[in-house]
Amino acid sequence: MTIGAISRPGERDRLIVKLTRVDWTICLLLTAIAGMGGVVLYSIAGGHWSPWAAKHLILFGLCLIATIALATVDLQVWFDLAYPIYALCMLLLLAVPVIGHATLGARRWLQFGPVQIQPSEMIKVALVLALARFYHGLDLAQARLSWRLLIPAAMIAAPAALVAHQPDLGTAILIAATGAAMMLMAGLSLHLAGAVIAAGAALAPIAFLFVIKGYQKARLLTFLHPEADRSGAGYHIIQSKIALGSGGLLGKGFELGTQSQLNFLPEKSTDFIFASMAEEFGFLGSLSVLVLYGAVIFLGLRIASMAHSHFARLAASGVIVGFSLCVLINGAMVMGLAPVVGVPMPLLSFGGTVMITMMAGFALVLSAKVHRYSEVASGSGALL
Amino acid sequence: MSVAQPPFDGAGSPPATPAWRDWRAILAAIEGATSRGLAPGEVREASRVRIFFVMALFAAAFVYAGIFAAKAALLPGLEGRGGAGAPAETVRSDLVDRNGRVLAVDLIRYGLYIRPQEVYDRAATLDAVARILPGVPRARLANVLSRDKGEFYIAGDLSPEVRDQLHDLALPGLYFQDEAGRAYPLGDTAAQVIGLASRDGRGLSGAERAFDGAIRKNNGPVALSIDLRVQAALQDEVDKAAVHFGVKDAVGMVVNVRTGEILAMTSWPTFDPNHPERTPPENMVNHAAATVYEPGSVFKVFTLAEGLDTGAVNIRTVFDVCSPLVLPGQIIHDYDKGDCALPLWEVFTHSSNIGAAKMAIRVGGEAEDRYFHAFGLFNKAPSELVESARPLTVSRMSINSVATMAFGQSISVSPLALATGMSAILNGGIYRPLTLRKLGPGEAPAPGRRVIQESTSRVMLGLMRLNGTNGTGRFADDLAPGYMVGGKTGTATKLVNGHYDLGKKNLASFAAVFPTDGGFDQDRYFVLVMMDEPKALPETGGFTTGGAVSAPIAGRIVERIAPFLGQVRRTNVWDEPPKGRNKDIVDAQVLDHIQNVSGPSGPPINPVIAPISTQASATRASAKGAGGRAR
Repeated sequence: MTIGAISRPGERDRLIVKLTRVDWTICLLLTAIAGMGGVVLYSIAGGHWSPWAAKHLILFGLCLIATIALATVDLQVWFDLAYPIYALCMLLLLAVPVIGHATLGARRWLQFGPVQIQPSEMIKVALVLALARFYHGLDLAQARLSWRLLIPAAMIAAPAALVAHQPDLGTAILIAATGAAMMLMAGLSLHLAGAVIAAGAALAPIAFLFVIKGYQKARLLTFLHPEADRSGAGYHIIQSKIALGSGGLLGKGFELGTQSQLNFLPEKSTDFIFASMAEEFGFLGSLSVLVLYGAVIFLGLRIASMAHSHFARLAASGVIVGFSLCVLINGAMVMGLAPVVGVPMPLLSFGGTVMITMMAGFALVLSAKVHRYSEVASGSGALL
Repeated sequence: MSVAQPPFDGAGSPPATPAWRDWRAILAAIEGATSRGLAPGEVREASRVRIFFVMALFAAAFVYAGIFAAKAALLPGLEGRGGAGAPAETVRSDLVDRNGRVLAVDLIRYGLYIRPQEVYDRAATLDAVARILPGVPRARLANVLSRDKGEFYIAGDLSPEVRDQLHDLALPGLYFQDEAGRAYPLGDTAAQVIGLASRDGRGLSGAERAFDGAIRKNNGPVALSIDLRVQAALQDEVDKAAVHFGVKDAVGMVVNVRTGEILAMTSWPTFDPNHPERTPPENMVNHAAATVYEPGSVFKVFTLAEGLDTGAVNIRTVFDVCSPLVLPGQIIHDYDKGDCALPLWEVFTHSSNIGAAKMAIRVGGEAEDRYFHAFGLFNKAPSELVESARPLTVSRMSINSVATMAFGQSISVSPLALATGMSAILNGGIYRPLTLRKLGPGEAPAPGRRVIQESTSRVMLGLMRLNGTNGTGRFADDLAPGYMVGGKTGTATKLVNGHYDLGKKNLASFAAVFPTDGGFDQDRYFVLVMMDEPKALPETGGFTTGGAVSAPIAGRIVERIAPFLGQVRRTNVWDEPPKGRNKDIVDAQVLDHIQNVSGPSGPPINPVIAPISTQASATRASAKGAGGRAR
């Protein structure tokens, strides 16, 4: 690729040129993370490809191909589809309480033939798209403080409330936090943000007493004092900490992590996979994976900052923020720094819908890179 | 990754230097974003700044998480311990025998507690726990589970496997506690000598108690003087005989008299130290150290050593054993009433009580008191074993006690004390405490103190050998031919209701030594067998004497352990003098035999044993000439 080539009219729209402008570094980093996930899933299955590792790697491979393909789709297409996608996901989300499939006491899944999908995961990307679409038509003064901000607030609050109702507090918090971060990045008044945070802090005790469920309270209390209930609610955190601590600097070795091999660690293939990995590959292993995540986040935000269209910038940064929050919340949970909430480690944890939506998000990020010089034609108003 | 290019389209404001390149610009922009807002055209720059603001926040969060992960991984605190895979702390080092074979090791064990108030499904919990722990009474579980509060200890000493089974039930209200477990892989082998350690890691008995300090330093395995091969042979023979003869209890010991190391020590009945709760407490007693017995005629070894060492008598000094010895309020008889006048060596081989008593009286109570003190018989045996028992002795020496102690009555000592004293007589005359600690390579035995002259020790070895070939110890030598076994029998009638119940209940013992030849710088082994109250069996001719019961056991033991101890059968095994009590055959040979056993450098058989005569050969010739037994 040369500057000359891409500066020729129409040259940038050629597929081959677009492919050369895909950020292959990010693709490589994502592959490394997912590959590490495959290794850990293989190990904790006792050295077997089933039930997790093979599915995980195959799905990632398919997703990666799809992601690269989607990255060549013009931003304008995403822009036009933003609201329809959001509306579809909201519909699915609304359908969950009605026809949803309940596991572990929560109704989070929709069954379509052999396929199970988790609308609460899909709404994360849809929300990012919709918010980016919304703010694209807004000028900074309006984005800072105006009545129009009630619209994105509602766009965030509706799915968050629905997901919290499932109940899936972790994902709801993630949705709300991602939305709030996007509002901030779009230019929300920091005074207002400060005021909201202060109000939230003031209302938290009331929410604790009256709104959140008993088991959620227990999780929060357990987070504060895990040792108080070693075999009950504190069990996850303690076993996870044991796994982390016993890994030491270099870990116990591949397929040698007793915490996960012996099933002491709960949810070892999903939410607590980071602990399984830390046990077997030690501090250096987990630090390497954190560095991979950090690199993805850095490169993603750089892509966002370089995009010309406001839509691409906000969409890419929204995806990256959601991804980062996932990593940080999961990491903090595994280390006992945050309460146990059902947030998976993106790409490392086993889980189809999470993988697909996460990779769909990265399709947006890559697309923002490929089309970083393009503008999107917005409608006249924020919602059009 | 290329640097952000100036925009090609005209949508934005004129590009400045990329903001993220200039940190001052970033700070200024963030400041501006909070204070005054931006004009509509500055949307891009504003959101760019904010994106980097978010990036900085994430970077900080990542660094924090990284630091925390480092802390968790590299500075394992409380969480690092007690996990499923984390090894429990070993607080006690292993106990091993002298060849490094494991006798006792630490194990990871768990105790189970139940907090009934946290149990969700009591019936299911009851069933599940009862299924996995069948040893816990159901009634007790039901009782605990019916409570509303508290914490109850259900079972201890659970293996990791059992703990995992319970843990995997995922029942609330079940708690586990680490316990210091100790495993004794040999089971009842040397159980009392090895001893026990408590749940909280303290030595309670045996070597576990004796070497508690060294074991708790946890600085490599602690080696005992025990030789597991010797222990196995000794214990096998003693246990078999104990069952065979239906004894009350039994003791066996093997000691290297040169170094004072106890190579084996057994006490029957024994027990499985892995399950002390399943055994009656009396089985845990180490009778070899903790019980005192009236030893009987084996004590004549001490008596003769005393007499010979004072020089007041020699082995040819003749004693009249025709008539019972009449003492104030007491008459002393002999079992064997064959001869009237016995030289001292025949007093020994016939085990004449009258002869021994008369010798003791002739040598005097003061000498007996002094020598028996020197042999350690009036005090508890100095030993690492805290079990070592204090002897029962007469409060005041009288003529009766002097006479009866000469053949091992009116005094009760522990087998350990007996072995300690005997070792001094058999090792060249040095009294030193017996030890359970393995001497290091090249480590000299404890200096000890001289209690008899070396020449007396030689004569005593000769007498022991003579008794093995021609006296009451023949059965021992018969079963271990060629190992130069000597020994002294003991048949102590037991005091029942205040009088000695002749021939009914007794203690049959045999004190053996081998090899009886060779210098004192060579290893020499003392073997003690004691059978307490054996039953009369046809095969022993109805006898329950030391010679009939214990001497064959000792013989079999020597036969089994000698190869381990590097002993070789003497090639002239068939050239040994004929055995039996046919005096005509023995007569001319016995003293010659003693002479030979004493070795070429040994002292002559001389009325005055010390100082060693320089004219050994001449004296030997004269002794040979006077070899006939005085009648």
